[in-house]
Amino acid sequence: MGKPRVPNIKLGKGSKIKIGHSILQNQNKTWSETGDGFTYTDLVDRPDYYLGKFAKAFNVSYNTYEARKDKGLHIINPKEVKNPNETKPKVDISKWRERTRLKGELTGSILNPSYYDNFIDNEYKLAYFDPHAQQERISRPVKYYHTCEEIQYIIENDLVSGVSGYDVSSAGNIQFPQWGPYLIEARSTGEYSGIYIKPGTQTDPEFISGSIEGYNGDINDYSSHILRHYKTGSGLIQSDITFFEPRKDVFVNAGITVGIFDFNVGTYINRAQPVQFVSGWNGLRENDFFHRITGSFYDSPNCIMIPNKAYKVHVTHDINVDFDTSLDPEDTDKIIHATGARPHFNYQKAQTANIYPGNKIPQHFYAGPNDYTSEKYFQYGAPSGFFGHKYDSFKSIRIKNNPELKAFRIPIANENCAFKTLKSIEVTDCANLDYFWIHPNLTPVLQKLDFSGCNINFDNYHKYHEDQYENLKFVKLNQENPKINPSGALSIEGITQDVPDYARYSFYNGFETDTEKDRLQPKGCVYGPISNFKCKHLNFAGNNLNQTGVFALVANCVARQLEDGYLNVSDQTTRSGPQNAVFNGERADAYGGVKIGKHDQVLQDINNLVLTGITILRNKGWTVIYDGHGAEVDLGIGHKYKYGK
Amino acid sequence: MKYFNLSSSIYKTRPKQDGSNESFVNVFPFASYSDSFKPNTFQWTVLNVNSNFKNSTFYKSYVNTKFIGPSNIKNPLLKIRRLQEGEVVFVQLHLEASDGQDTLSKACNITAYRGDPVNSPFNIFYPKNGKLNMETVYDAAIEMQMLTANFDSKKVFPAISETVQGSKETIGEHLAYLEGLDLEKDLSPLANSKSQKKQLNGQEVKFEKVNFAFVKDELAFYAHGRSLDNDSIDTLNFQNPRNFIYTKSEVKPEKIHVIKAYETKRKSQHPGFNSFINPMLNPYLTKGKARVFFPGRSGHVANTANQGCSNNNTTTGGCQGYPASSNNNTCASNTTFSQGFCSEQSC
Repeated sequence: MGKPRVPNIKLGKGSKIKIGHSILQNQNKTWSETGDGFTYTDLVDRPDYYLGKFAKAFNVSYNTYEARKDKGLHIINPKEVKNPNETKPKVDISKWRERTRLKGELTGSILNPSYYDNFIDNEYKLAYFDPHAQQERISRPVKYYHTCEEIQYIIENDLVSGVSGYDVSSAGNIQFPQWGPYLIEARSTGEYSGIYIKPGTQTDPEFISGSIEGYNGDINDYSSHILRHYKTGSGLIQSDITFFEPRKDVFVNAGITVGIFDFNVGTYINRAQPVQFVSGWNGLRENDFFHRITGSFYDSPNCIMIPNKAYKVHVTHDINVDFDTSLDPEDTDKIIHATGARPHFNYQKAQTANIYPGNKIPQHFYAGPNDYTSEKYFQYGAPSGFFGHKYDSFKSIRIKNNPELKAFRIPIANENCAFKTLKSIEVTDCANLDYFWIHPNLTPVLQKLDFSGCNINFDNYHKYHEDQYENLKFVKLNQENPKINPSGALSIEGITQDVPDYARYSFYNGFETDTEKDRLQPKGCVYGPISNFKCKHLNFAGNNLNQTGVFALVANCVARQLEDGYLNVSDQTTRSGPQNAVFNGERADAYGGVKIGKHDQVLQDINNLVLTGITILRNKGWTVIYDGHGAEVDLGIGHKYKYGK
Repeated sequence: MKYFNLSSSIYKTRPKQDGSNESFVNVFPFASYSDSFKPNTFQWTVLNVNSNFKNSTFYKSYVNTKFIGPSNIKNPLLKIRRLQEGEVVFVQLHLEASDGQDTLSKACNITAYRGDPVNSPFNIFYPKNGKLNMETVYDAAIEMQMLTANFDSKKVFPAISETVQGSKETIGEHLAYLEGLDLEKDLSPLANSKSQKKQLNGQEVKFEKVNFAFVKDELAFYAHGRSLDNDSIDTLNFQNPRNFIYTKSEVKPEKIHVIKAYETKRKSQHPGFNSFINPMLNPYLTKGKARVFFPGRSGHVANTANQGCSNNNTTTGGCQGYPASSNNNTCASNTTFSQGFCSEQSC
């Protein structure tokens, strides 16, 4: 006996009968109980009628309202809606907003993020007994999240190297390079006791610990040892989600998904285990549609449990109807009887929101004065550079007063350390830091950039502009689609700068991971250090910017069209000549009297251009601190300055 | 609830001081037990051993496995021996653990390889005009098979029914299918390339993307060869990987392939010498449908400790090592078709 669902009956190809809205209605026939027969035609002519009757007779509920007003519109990304009937994607923000309104809002967070500091802060030391020197060597602190390559670096630099040394590799699973276990193998055959964990150096073995065990090798075999980490303690994880649910007719499930990394096997045994916090019909509590729910749970033994997303699921009710015979479109006169009905639930993931994306625990990185040393932070490029990390993730980076630091650079290879998580960078009073670059795609959520007291000069920018100074202009970046060339953008594709050796990063298997040149910006992005739309706090005071360096920052802020920001470009190291980053209305020929503009149509120079940019920013509520005066100078264009050509 | 997990792992043989690679590797199986399950007895067993050299046209496998020390302890050490350069060995390892009340068991895949993994061709046979034709073909990129094993798939150990030719697409069918493709269709962008549209009885219908399971040139597996260096990737500026597969009119290069290749390069650099280079696979070969086992090859279960041969010693290669518990423990080395090709009936 067939049991198709009603009204979602599949009629097959070629059928002219439509479901949902009758073409030929037979209003005379009624149905009230199981004994009442009907035909296939009756059913497909009036599905809503029969559905209602079935539901009532068999006491099964279903949803009458389906939020499918924009059905047929396929959302490619949040700002782009494609109508499949059209050949090209069509941007339809109104449809997107409608969909957003129907889905509501959702945010998630961890209430006790300090719990995860236990994984980040704890450490231990490795040791090796040198048989020749008859002495024990002890390593620098080892973090439990170090990769095998970093552990090998520590062994080679602190304990033993060369033919007598050891190779370290992820033992087994190549997908998850952190947390262990690791395979430590001797480079030559023979009996070695190998590397061991120095007793008493594990900082909190009650919570997390490690051990090394294995095979000592023989004359024909290599010693092989396994370094394992154990999360020996337990902890309570508290999470919080808030959501706005506009639909009254849906049953809502909401909670978080948790990635579970098992230390024993070195892999995730579940990457998205749902933990449900709330389940119920919307609007039942507090008589409105905003909900805030806090949930907590204990982590599993020997596992890291990382809440990665908050989720909200709509559960709609449908009905499965049992018939006493099959529904046959070819036999429309056959009498059919409904014998029963059962509820059927449709689960649709309505929304998700990031908590710890990618199952990474983002850390607040801080290195105090003279604390950014190779001993502690070699994996990030210390002491001469900071390059991020391929597997570690940061919420904020603070490095203060470390004169050895010369470069701050995050290449695309280390995208995971910044993307979606990094909100603040404060590298201050590092007097020798002169190279700053972040791949433009890596900072979508960055809000604060503070490099005050460094030595940044943006040489690349003014070199470029000196060649094409007549093209200097403000551009307007398209926030809704940054890939589209901004209005008035220069033809700037492929502009690169050489990366000095101290700003290059090479780790992981000896592969070539870093590039020799940095793109100043991808095609279509505004020139300047930042291309995101959230960073409104830029402090480059006390650096080595010249006028075009300042212009790069001002133009960058103008192009992103944000409001109520903060820009500090004051107190730059004094330079001689027109490059001096002091701006006033009395100088109109910063380039030795050269009038900018191909046809001398506009008398503007870098000095006046910067002042114009400052005026534009102030009109948008920005606080701009710079050396000089005259921001209110009337250039004839003032705040009415038009972007680009 | 009582349960335990076994990890599937990848190991590479050690480089020797003279630059060559060792022929063996020591393997540490990893198990994790639920809080309620604290086993006190363990029994590790090698269930299967498979190799990319097994029944290959140009290679023969001599690999065997042996536990160093007892196999009934919590953390045993398994040695996989006699690997040849380029050989990739898949070992199916089984653990039966008991806490006195309950006995649980699970299996995992251990992958071991020496040097640069090679794609090994094999012969496949098909009838044509009443005669038996032979083609030398490749199945799937070896890197894909290693990843499949690492993801714990059991497909690297095919059932016998999957390895006989009768249940598979023949090369003749496959080539005929290729000829029937509509090459004028624009398959870009890549995100939409999982399905194609085709005219059928005057109507345009969607059908699943072609399964290019068998290829005669191993380079067809890759978008830019097997290397990940910049020069190789840059060749994508001048050629389209689709042209490695289609035989008709050439299609123009697409920049998206270069971008994807650089992404692959950036993301496949895992730490540790156990890692392997995972090149960008040809986007026009269906990954999900690739035959990640070894078609046409013997699916014989290898010897285990309780089934003849030496203790805890397992050997692959040809039709040797068929379990004694089977109905028929003998198998001709050359069966119905040719060397290394067993049909279900013959074994």
